[in-house]
Amino acid sequence: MTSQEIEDLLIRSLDAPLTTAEEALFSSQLKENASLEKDLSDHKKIRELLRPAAPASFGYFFASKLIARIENTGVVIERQIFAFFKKYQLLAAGVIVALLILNTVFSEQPSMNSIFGLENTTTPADEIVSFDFYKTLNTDL
Amino acid sequence: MIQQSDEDLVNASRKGDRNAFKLLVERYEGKVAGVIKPMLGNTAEAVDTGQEVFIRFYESLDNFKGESSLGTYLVRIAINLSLNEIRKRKKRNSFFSPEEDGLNVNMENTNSDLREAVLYEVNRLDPDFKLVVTLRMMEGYSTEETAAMLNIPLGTVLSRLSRAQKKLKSMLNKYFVV
Repeated sequence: MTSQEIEDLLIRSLDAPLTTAEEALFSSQLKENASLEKDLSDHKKIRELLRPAAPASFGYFFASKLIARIENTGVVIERQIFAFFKKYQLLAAGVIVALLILNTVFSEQPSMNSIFGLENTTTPADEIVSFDFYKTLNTDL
Repeated sequence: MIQQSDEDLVNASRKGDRNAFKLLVERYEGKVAGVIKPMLGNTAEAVDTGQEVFIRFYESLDNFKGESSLGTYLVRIAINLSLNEIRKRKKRNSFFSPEEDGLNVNMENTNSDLREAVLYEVNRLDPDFKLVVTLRMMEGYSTEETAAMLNIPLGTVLSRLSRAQKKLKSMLNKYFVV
């Protein structure tokens, strides 16, 4: 077994259970190799040092500040609006479908545009009666 | 006094009970801070990100189905937002001094303060490695929990831990004999 493999086994022993065979191998290596025991203790020490001495925190009044932020930045209102629409989403979908049906029923020529209310309601160009104001004026005179 | 369950508090929060939500924040502040602070340091950004985690949760209260525990759900949001913040930092092309990262390491005193030195070296790891170190070694989650939270295979967690551990040991060897 190479020293690299032994080190891998050593580190893995800190995070995952070793198989019986690996356990036996690791124990025998520990007995034979004094520096391996030192390595193991160094690695354990690093872990020990990393464990926080006290629970982490964002400082005093974090929760109160957060609640104030939620209340002051409209998050509450946004959430309420969202919740409202979520509650009535079926009704809202029904209203939309009803509007589409009404559009279809009352449109003169059913088409995709008329269904979605995109119909051009201005008078088509060929139906515009031209009117020459000056000509009419001269005729009347 | 009987402690209200997370589920009761979430339901009360959904109905607009701000005190219930505050209790949830107080209950999970430590878990969220335990992930964000090692990732972003003891900075104002870390506090903002912490607030953002709970605001996101508040906004999506109705979507929280309780499929995972609330702690896991919040830690996942914290992980994502921390990684986003790190990406933003990189985009801003900032090179943070140890002070900005909140470790407050004085290199002259490093030898006298092992913990500060270890934290300083953790802070220099790549975000992917820093995350597994934070969750597994600092916050004490099991390797399985770490894998689930990061949505990566268990083998990847073990290999990242192993590489991080080796890096930490070799980095620390230059300061002192551990």
